[in-house]
Amino acid sequence: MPSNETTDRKIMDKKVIDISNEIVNADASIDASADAGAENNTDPNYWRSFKELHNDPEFNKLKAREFADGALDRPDVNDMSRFSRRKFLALLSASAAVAATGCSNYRDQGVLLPYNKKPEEVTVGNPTYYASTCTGCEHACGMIIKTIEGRPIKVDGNPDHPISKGKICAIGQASVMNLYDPERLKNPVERPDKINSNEIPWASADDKIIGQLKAAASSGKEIAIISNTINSPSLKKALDEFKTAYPTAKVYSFELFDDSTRRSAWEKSYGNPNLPIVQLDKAKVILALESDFLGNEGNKIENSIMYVQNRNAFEGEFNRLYAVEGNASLTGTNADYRIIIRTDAIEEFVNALLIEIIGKEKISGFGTDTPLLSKLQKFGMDGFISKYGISKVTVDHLISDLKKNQGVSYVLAGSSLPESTHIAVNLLNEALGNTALHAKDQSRVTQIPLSAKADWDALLASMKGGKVGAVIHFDSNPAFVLPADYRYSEALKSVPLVVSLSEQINESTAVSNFVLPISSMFESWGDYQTRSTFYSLQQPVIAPLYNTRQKEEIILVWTAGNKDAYNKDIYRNYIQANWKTTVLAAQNTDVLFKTAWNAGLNDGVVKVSSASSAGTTETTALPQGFKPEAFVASTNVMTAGSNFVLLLTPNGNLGDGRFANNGWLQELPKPLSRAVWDNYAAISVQTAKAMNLQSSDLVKITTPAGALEMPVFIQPGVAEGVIAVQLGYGRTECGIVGKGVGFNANSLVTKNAKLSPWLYDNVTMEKVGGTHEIVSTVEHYNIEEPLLKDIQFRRHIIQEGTYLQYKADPEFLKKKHGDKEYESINKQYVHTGTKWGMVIDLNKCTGCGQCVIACNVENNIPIVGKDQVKRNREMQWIRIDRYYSGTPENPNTSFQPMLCQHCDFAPCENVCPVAATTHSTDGINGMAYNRCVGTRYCSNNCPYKVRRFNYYNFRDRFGDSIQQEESFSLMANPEVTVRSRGVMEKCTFCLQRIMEERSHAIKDNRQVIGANVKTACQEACLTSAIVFGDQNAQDSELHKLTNSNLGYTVLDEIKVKPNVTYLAKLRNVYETENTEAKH
Amino acid sequence: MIMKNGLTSTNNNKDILSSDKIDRKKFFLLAGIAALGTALVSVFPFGKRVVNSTKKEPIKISPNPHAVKRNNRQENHG
Repeated sequence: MPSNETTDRKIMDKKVIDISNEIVNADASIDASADAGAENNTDPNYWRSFKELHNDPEFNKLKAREFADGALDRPDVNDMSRFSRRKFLALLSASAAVAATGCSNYRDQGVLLPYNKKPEEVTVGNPTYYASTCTGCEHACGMIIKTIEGRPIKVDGNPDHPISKGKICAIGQASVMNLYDPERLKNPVERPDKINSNEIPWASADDKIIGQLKAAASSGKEIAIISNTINSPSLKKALDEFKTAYPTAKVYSFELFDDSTRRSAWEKSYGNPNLPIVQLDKAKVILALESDFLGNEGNKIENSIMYVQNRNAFEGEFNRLYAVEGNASLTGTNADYRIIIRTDAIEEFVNALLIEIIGKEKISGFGTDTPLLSKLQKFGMDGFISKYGISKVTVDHLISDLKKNQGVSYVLAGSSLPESTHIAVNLLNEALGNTALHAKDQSRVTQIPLSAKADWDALLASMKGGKVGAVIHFDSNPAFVLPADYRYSEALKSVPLVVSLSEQINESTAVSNFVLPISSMFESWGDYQTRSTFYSLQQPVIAPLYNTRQKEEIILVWTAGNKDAYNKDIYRNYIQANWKTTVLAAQNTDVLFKTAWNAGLNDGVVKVSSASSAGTTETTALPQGFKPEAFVASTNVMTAGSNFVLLLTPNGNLGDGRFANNGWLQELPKPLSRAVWDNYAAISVQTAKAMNLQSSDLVKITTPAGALEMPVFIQPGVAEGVIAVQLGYGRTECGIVGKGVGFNANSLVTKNAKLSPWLYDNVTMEKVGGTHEIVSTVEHYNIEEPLLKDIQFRRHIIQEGTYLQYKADPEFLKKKHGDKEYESINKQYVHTGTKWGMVIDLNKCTGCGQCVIACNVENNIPIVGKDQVKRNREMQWIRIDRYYSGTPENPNTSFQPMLCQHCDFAPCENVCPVAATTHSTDGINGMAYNRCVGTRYCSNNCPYKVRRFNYYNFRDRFGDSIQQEESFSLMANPEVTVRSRGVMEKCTFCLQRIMEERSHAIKDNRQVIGANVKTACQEACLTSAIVFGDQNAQDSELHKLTNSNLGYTVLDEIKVKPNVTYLAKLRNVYETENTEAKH
Repeated sequence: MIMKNGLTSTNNNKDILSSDKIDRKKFFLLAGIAALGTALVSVFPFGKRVVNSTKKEPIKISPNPHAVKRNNRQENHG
């Protein structure tokens, strides 16, 4: 800097210091002058520096200049770094060369070939199908597994299976994720201190365990095998052989929810515990008492199929469903009439019904049974109606219907109800002659009955007393599932050998000495028999992905007592040997065994006559006659109290919690609350008002077993005083997806329940402060403002009527809403060839959500997690909209699956700036993912709110990028693009399946047949409510339904011409007036 | 140093270490040593440990040879 400028700067600096010193020394004078100024001038005086404050002349001069001193000075080269440009470039290129050398990992991968020697029957790119059996629950439904290049990617029902008839539930659909779960156990592990794990070879594990088992048996100590339901005849035989090899071995089996109270009631009523198979498809009237048979109870696939068989307005058959319940269940919301009473008042209701039917109406011969009548005398329906404030008209309808439909009606009692209620219901069905609906040609088969409470008490006592030498968790999780007051994990400490056979870590593996990984159902052989008329076979479609074995194979090796007994075909050979001497031998045919075996594997089922049914422990004898003394002697009758009643319900998607690590199932919204990733205590509107509770508020629920703090959810339709909680949540030892999700309500279950293990009265609930947010999708993608009451009717989104209205005038819907033909500014394109469309029958749709899971699996939908669902970012292409109408205390519920409508004049197509969404000549609204730039204008414009945007690469974001693991990528359907961040996606009408049909048509030199294409949602729908096909095929079912008098489109007034037609829901009520809200 | 337009330069080829311009022979010598060193370091000791701990065996997919495929997924009328 020139010397003059330096001097000037020094002078300026000194002036600044002097001014600063003045300010520091004269604070008061400055304040005073400021105050004086303020009195005369109301404008605030803004300043940014002391110089500005004191109007320094030099500062003012500087202020007048555009550029400050030094701004225009040329740079001094001598002050620059000595690092030359040449040097910089040289070092840059050298470091780049070094980095490239170090980072490079090029290895010659060789030539990419699908096969060195291609198997004859395999065509690359074409899927292969295998029949097998699902082992997700005790029902053993038949399934068809679709594989591509050896990888199972999709599961659907087996149409040859007599029970499931081509359908499979959400658990079966999502089971592919369990196969490819990266957190599956991969190698045997020894845990000497039950804390640290050491991987060991199978031979070593077998050796050690066999040694300890032999020692336990020889010392007279029990070997307990704890399993879930065993319905495999070959496995039963294997276990019998194990018990022969180890005479102190005993098998215990359990389920979180079972039919124990129903069975014990049946045994008392009829003399044997063999429950009948009820032919609901022949019932004209069904009364469900806290029985969610369409949702979470029993075999919902079979129940749903049977229920809708008799519910078709076009064929003139329409059953009537009554539901009497305290909880708001899926079945109740589908009922034509619903009576809301506390769960503990249901037995009183049944008794009141009995006195009406038997006492007053004199139906059946029980009216002369004096002891029976005298027990019923204290009950009366009129008193009940006035006590609980229910509708007399509805009750009168019920009694009238039961009376008129004797022998073709049925009363179902929920599994959670106590034995006394079941006995009363048995009497009611007997009195009405409804036992005529019991199947005569088939019966249930039980290989090993579930263990009774006495068995468990004895086992736990033996464990605590040191009399148990070994416990084997046979693909079960008793540490989580058994009632907390068993103190099971504590009792295990007294057992020297605890072995867990499991696919994943769980609460039981955490307290085991050995954890042995077992193969998934896609990797396993098996045979199952749940009915007397058929067996189903399970075959592995893939070799084990990891170092796992089937649990049956493990048992066989231990039975042999020699670790070298194992070979990979050991259990297959065992089943074949068993079948040669039992099942196929009983068929008494000349067919070679190999032919019959292969035929069985091809079909997935082997039908047998009941007489030739082998390997069963349960007799097929039907009940001989009802014993009225069972009702008279029945004590501990349930009566309604004034405290809360707690109802514990199953979760149809997570099972007993074993599928907690399946993100698709966790993210499936519950049918009514639409909540995800959580459970809660469902309470009534009245209870919430009385206790000043909002949804997500924490409460403490106390039962005789224990207490639990959990959030509440205000559920319309729940009876006052009822608390409903789903089990299966709150896993503590689980993979990253399921760990800590929800609240473990097993702590509320006691082994000594007064009523039933799932029903407790005299429960207390208190508000504890704090919240746990329940995320619900109920207000996501609202087509209209959520605050307007009955908006679904104002915009005619939901159109309903009654069956009587339809019978009187099939055109009533068109007359009510008008068969509108709107003028459009768009020129209609005439689809001369195929035009794809869909019909959804709202009479059949129960809102179960199986279609959502099927779509997820088929179209590689990512899991986004609770936090993203909270932000409306769930990625499911199809959603089930749930609407209420009426009062919050007693609402009517309507379900409507909503997906891309593939509108002819799609508003999304016009607004895309890059033409990423276009319309095909066959009516599909398509998405070109690689064109999409993510403006989201299309989603903004979509009136149905069916478009989903990838705000993140959710595969990378959720759960420590678990979806990016190699095994997860094996799960992806290769026919569907995996979308990345910034791209819009939506339902494509399963375009990949349309293309498959197109390729078949080309190969066969024919036209595309619309009926050959089944979308994933259509295949999965248990009630076949979804029909897809070619609207231009005049003779197709789709064409007929699209043009039916119950058909309507949503938001047709906006003239987008959607290609999804809904069939209006009809309620089978006595009232002839419209069930929609009056407007 | 020579000042020219405010920039410095040197013409002393013998003073390699202190000069701004790196000799071509020296450049390639240093680059080669660095590349060799990086390659060696990436193999051991760190490379071995990294390979062993992070490299996962790829999952092998092999169909079950005893499985019987279904001719078509629709109902079997046979």
